[in-house]
Amino acid sequence: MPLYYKDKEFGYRPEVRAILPWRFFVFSLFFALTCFALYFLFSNYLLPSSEKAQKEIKEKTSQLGKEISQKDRQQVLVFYSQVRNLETLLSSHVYLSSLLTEKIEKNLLPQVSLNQISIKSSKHFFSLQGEADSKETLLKQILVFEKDEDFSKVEVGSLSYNKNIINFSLNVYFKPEIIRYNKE
Amino acid sequence: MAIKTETKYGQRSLIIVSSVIIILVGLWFLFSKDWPLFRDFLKMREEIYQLKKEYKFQKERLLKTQEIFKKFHSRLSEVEDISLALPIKEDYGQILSEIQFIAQKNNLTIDDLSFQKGIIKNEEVEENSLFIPCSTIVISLKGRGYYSEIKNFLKDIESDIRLMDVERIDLTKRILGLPGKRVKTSNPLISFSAIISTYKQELR
Repeated sequence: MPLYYKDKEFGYRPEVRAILPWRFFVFSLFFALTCFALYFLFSNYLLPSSEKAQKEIKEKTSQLGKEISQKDRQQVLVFYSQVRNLETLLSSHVYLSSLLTEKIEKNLLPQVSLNQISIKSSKHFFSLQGEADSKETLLKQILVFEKDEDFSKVEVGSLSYNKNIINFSLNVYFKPEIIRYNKE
Repeated sequence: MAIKTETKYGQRSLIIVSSVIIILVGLWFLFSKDWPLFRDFLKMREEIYQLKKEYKFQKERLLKTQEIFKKFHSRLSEVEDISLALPIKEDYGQILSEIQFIAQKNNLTIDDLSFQKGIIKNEEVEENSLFIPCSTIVISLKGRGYYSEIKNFLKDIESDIRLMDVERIDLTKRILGLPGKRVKTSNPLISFSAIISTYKQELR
């Protein structure tokens, strides 16, 4: 509804209200107060409460670590190490008896007798010292070892003749798999 | 009835200027005081979010770990079996009696037995690993017996619950009979010496 005022010169004239400055002023006051209020809100409530929450979570997280006793941890750690160590050790566990029975004994000719057997599992070889009844027998014996696929190299160490007997020493290198449980 | 409100230019200008000043003060306050606090607040919120995430992750891990512990405690007998294969304690007496027992079982005579203490096997230990390596105990022994019994002794050592590896064995035939009248046999009397490795789990 339009408002009028009485002008001395022109009589009743429509009123021009100064709306903008007052609303603008109120808005500016509201804006400034809001800015102050925000400052107090952040500094007195939101930041301290966030800090408190942060501290609480950190504390709770550190408490989690204490829920398992040191003794239990050590026990499991040792068990885990034992299992891992055993896995490695079993994969390299050696069975020299199988080499002795399945390889040396089976490949030995009846005309050859051994005086000494020395097996070194880490170096993958064995040395034999013995007697053969003839050169041919010894040669046959060397060929038997050489033909076996599980032996990689046969070396003749020494040879000596004593009446009808030949004393010899042989070094035979074998594949590491043949003294392992899992031969593949 | 109409309300007459006349506003003079001076009064209007004063209100506008003071409003602008108040807004400027408000803006200054907003950017110099509120904004840094707001930024800190956002940063803190982000940190709290990350911490909560970490807490949740740790909690899940803890639950899984507790489950492992439960299983571990329910299978203590198996754990003990593993300790028979790879003991934790330094038990030279146990090793000695075990070897003596196997030797006696196979009618072997042990003339000499000695130990060499623990070399730690740490070839495959990664840095910062929780894994604890084991150490080796080297047993040197000398004895005598018949060939077939020595083979059985070897088999028993290899299949013993305590893990033992025969690193080296030397078998030397003992000559029986007078020179020129040797006794030939398929099961001769043998002097033997062996180097056996056994293992012990180290502790931190």
